[in-house]
Amino acid sequence: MLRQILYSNTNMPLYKNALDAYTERQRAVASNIANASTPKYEARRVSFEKRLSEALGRPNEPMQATDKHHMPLKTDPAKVRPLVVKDDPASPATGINGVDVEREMGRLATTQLQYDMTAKSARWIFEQIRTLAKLP
Amino acid sequence: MKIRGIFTSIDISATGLSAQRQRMDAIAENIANVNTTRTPGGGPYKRRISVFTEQPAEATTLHLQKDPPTRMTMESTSRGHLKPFERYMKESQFSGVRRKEIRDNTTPEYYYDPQHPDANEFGYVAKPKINIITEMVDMIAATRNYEANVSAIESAKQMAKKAMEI
Repeated sequence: MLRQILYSNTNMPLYKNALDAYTERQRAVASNIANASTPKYEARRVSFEKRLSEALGRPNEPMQATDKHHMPLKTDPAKVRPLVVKDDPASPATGINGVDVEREMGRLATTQLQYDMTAKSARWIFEQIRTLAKLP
Repeated sequence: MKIRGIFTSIDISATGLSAQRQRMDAIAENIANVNTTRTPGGGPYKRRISVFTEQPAEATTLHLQKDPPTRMTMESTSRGHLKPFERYMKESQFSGVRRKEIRDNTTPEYYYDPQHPDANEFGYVAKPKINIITEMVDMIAATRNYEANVSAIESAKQMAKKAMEI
C-alpha cells in the first residue's frame, strides 16, 4: 500500500530517477577524473535534465491520443532514465583528451548539491506520510 | 540507488589514486637516480615513464537499464515471454585507469668527465636522460590528479551519507 501511495500520488518516481541520474553522473565524473591523463579517453557525460524537462513540458502537437493503443505523444516523465554518452574525442580540451579537470570538479560539486536537494525532497515525502500515519 | 553504485564510483576513483601514487613512486625514483651511472643490469639508470590506459570497471557492475516504452504498447502474456524494452546485463560504461610503465631505452646522454670511474675510453660518462624540471612538473601534475580523485571519493561518500538520511 505504501508503495502504491509513493508511486501514484507523489513525485517519488521522479526523485528516484533523479537520484539515479546523479549517481550515474557522479560515477561518470569519477571515471573522467581517474582518466584525466589517459590519452584518447572519451569523456563520459550523463544526459538527463534536458530530456526530463522535455517530458515535463506540454507537447506542441495538435494531435490527441484517444485510444490507449495510440502512440504516446510524449514520454512519461517518470520513465526518463539517465543516459550515458561519450564525448567527441575529436575536440580535446587539454591536448590529451576531452577531460577538463576544473569543469569536472564543478560538475562534481553541482551533482552533489543536486543529490542532496533531491534526497531532502524525497525525505520530505516520507515525513509527510509519517505525519499522516500519526493522525488519530 | 544501489549501494553498489556508490562503491563503483569509489572503486573508479581508487584506480586513479593508485595509478597516481605509482606515478609518484616512479618520479621519486627518477629524481633519486638522476646521477646513477651503475645499475645491476649494467649501464646508467633508465628513466621510468608512466603511461595510462583505460580499465573497464569490474564486470560485477552489470546493471539493468529500463528504457521508456515510448513507441508502442505490448503485453507479455506469459512468464516465458521476453520482457520488451528492457536490456538486461548492460555493461558498466565507466572505466577506471591503469598505469603501465615503459623504461626509457633511448641512448643515454654523455658528459665529458675523464676523472669519473665510469668514463669510457674517450672520457665520456653515460648518464641517465632525466630532466629534473620535467620530473618536478610531472610530480605537480600527479599531486593535483591525486587530489582530484580524493575529491571525487569525498563527494561519493557525501552522496551515500545523504541517501542514508532519506
